[in-house]
Amino acid sequence: MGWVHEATAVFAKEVRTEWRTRVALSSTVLFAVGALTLIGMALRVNGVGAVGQAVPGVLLWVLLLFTAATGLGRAFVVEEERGTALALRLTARATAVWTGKFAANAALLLALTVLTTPPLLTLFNGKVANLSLLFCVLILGALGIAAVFTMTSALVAQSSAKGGLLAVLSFPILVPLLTAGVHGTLAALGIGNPQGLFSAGQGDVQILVSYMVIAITASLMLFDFVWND
Amino acid sequence: MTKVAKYILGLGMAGILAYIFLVLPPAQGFVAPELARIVALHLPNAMIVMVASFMAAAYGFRYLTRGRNPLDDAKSKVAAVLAMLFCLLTTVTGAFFAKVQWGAYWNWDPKQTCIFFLLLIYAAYFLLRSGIEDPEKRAAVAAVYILFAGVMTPMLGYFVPKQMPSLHPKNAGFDASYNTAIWTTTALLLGLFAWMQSLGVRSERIKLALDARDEER
Repeated sequence: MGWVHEATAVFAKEVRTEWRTRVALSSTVLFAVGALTLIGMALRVNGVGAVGQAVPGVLLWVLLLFTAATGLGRAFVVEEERGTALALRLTARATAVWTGKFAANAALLLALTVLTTPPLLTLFNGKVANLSLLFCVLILGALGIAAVFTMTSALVAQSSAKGGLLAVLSFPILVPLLTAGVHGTLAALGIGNPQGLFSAGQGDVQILVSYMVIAITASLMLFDFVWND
Repeated sequence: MTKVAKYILGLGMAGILAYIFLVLPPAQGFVAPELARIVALHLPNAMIVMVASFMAAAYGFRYLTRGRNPLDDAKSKVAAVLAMLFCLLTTVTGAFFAKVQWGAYWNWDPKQTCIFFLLLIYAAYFLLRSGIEDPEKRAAVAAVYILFAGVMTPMLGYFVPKQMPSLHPKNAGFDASYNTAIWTTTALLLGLFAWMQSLGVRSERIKLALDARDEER
């Protein structure tokens, strides 16, 4: 079997097992909706309607990160728990396994971003000044987040403390992505960029691209060491 | 380390401290120029963090690629402990400086926040280690994470804060004597770091030998 075939097979297997129960998808969507409502209520608890300008953009990223932390951590834990890790090791090479898992995680996170961004921006009165910049920043951000969480979930799967450890390991590593992502999103929402120019967020897009490339390359190079023991 | 080197290190340390507090001129352009001298201690600590973190990553890489020697893992761990220690010292000296010059120990300055995240990375590293029983698995997983940490150190220490507006002085009123003080302190701290590293590795070596003896019984 070729590498591409292995990777797509792992991806297809991920999608199929997820589609049987839809646990990851529904739990992350529900988590996002619950968190969104909770934050919305908390922000208006003193009866004042106005919310700071930067709030929608920042909230979007906080929500994205926390939902990823709840939804993407299971990828390798599930394999260890079910005892299927060994079978997977035998049928596909490490980089193909990582790529398939990453693709599945990325698909989940992108679906989630598409589902949560419009209601969030509507609910908190975020006005999009440059849609293509918003798309670029969110897609690249989601891919970067998915890459980091796929790698850290492989590390966490070996540990006895699984729940909280994933966020602890991933959040500090995601700082450069978060700062560039929030900056680019705010530019796309027209904050400090009233004409909605793409160039206002171009630097952030470049940072996000390089972050994603580094995260994926590093993961592909290092995954073999934790996977094949 | 030889006895002579230790004496040189001790005398040098005492000398540079005396120089910083007695000879170094106050830095102009600060709220309290007299107290800005802590920069000559703060900056070298940050540089040692960089060195220690690269060393930890290098030994992690060696562990993964050169035959999984448990001693490489131990060396990587000791360097990570020291990186965390110097990271803590950088944070604390920075907080003192911030209190005097900017009015509060914590200002959410990008550099302050980023060095704190670095501290969190090392805390996460030790948490990750403590959660894995099997020594070989632990070493492999820890080595992978420490490589990520090694990439993150220059990012958080340099590139990310550069993107954001910061309170940190750019080319404030430090004269040439600050350069001398900062680089001399860095060299001395590097010596201190090497000493601490060798002490740590020696104790890890003993632990490994004891474990091996227990297994033989």
